[in-house]
Amino acid sequence: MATEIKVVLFEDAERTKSELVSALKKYLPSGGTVVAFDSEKIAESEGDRKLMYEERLRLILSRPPFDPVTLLVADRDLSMSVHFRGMSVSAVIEAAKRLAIPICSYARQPGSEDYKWRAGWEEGHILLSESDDDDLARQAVLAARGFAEIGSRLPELVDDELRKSPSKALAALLGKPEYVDKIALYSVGDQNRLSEVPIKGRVEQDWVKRIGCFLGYWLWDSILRYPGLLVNEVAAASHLNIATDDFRVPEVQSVFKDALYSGPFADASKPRWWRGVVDDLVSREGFNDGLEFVRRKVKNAIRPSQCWVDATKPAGYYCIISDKPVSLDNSKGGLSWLPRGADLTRISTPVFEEYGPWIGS
Amino acid sequence: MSKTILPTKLWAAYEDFLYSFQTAVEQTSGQVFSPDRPIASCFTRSGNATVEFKRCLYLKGLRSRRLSGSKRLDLVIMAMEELERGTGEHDKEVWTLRKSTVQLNYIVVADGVGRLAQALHFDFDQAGQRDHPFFHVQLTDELIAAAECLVGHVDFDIQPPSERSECYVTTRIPTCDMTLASVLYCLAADHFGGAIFNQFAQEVLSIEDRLPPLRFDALKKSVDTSPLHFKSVHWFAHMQST
Repeated sequence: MATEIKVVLFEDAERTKSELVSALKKYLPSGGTVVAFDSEKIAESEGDRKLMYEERLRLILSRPPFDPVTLLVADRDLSMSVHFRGMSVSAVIEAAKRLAIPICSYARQPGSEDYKWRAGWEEGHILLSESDDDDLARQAVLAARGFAEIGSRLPELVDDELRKSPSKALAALLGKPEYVDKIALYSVGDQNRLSEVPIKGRVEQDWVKRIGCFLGYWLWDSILRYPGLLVNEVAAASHLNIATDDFRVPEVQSVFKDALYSGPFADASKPRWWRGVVDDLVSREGFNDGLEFVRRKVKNAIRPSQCWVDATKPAGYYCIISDKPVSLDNSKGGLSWLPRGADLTRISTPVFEEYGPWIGS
Repeated sequence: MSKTILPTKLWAAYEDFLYSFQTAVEQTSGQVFSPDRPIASCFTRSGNATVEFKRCLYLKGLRSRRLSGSKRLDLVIMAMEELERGTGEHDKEVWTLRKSTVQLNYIVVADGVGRLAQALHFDFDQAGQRDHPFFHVQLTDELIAAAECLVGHVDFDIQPPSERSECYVTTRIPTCDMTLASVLYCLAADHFGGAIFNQFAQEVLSIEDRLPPLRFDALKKSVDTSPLHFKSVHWFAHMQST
């Protein structure tokens, strides 16, 4: 990747800032840099200091040593920032939006599992909920690398035809033009993202930068997150009718290596597979499901998937809240906020009954 | 039983077509309800090289110019199709449509009562059915049974027809090749028309090519033999060899 990565960190606690800078440096590729936002050392005119925080930040981030920025990483609570008293992450998000710079925010307070899935629904930026600095830094650098990859590849891919359709642009970026219709289905039910679509003409000058930012958020927050087009480990195992633990065995995963996702934000520690390629591998040889396929290819002792609600049933689907394999009968899908393309993503019935009023219909 | 895994392009063509149809219905302020199951799960293995597709749709508030404002036109659709895997040129996998039955129930709703206004089914079987036109529509008075798509969405009590009509149950009318996609296409023309139909037709143009083609060898041969005459004999060409 030719683009050099620069991460700008917003953190108002000095000790945490120093720890996070070290952790980020550990994961950055060679040539990558971390610049901590130090409000005490920034020269601003008296006039600029009277502006709204988001406008001040926009001006500051447009200048060295920050510009050009690959990714902003910001604590959600920045209220102790010198010269920016009471600032919250919202001001940084707004500045990032004006500059078309991707941003991740984080909350270092350990969150419960409930918080993890609810918090993840915030739009317009990436939310990292890891409580461990090392994990947080690893995730942030993963995001930075992904956005850098998108930013470097997009200019050569985007022609007049692709400019008309974010789905086509993303399909081209992922090297899977055959999945453009499926990708388009991820925009259905995702109304929050509509306001973020860059309108060509109004923002012509930095359109590629803006569309790169938009596609990155869409990929991270929707397509990679909700199994349908791509599947994570639990969803892949469930879909293939293989017990999750057995699917984790390297010999089993090697059977599906051609389907491994290697595009932007690909994470070796949390692999994902192209569901269509997985399906084609199984069906091309006439097997009814993935279990038959791996039993023939690897070993006969591989166990089938089980629905976590009723172990007598094969799973087949993935519960986005419990992160467990679930059967069709013991789950609910088609909720208005689920992307239409995420047809393997469901909510287990007991979880739905517990959270029903908050989850919607 | 675990779910059947099929090539993505096969079920994705159905998914895309149905989604386009739903979008068109919603543009006319109608609603489409279907069972809470992904399209891919509507395909089940029915033989070594065959799969069966089954899906019902409930269309609520279908646009109808003839109906007075106090009434509503609903439509229940039950589609059953059988697909067969074969081998084409260069040993390429090819899926074709062996059978298709699409049942329709038109229901007129007024004052909390639903009256079955019209019931029919389109039918096709690659092997041909004795004494049936190859592709045909049959007018009936049969309610679609156990339609999953209705659960939780019906706001009326259904009133069955008071008198059974012998005419209804025996009329089979030859048609062109009607499948689920063709039926939905015709419904879009009938009930949406104009700009919405044009947009739908444009959208599904590329999807049509991805849907499995039908096999109708005897009929094709018959029409090819005398292409300038649409004779009734064509519709029973499959019986010439029986």
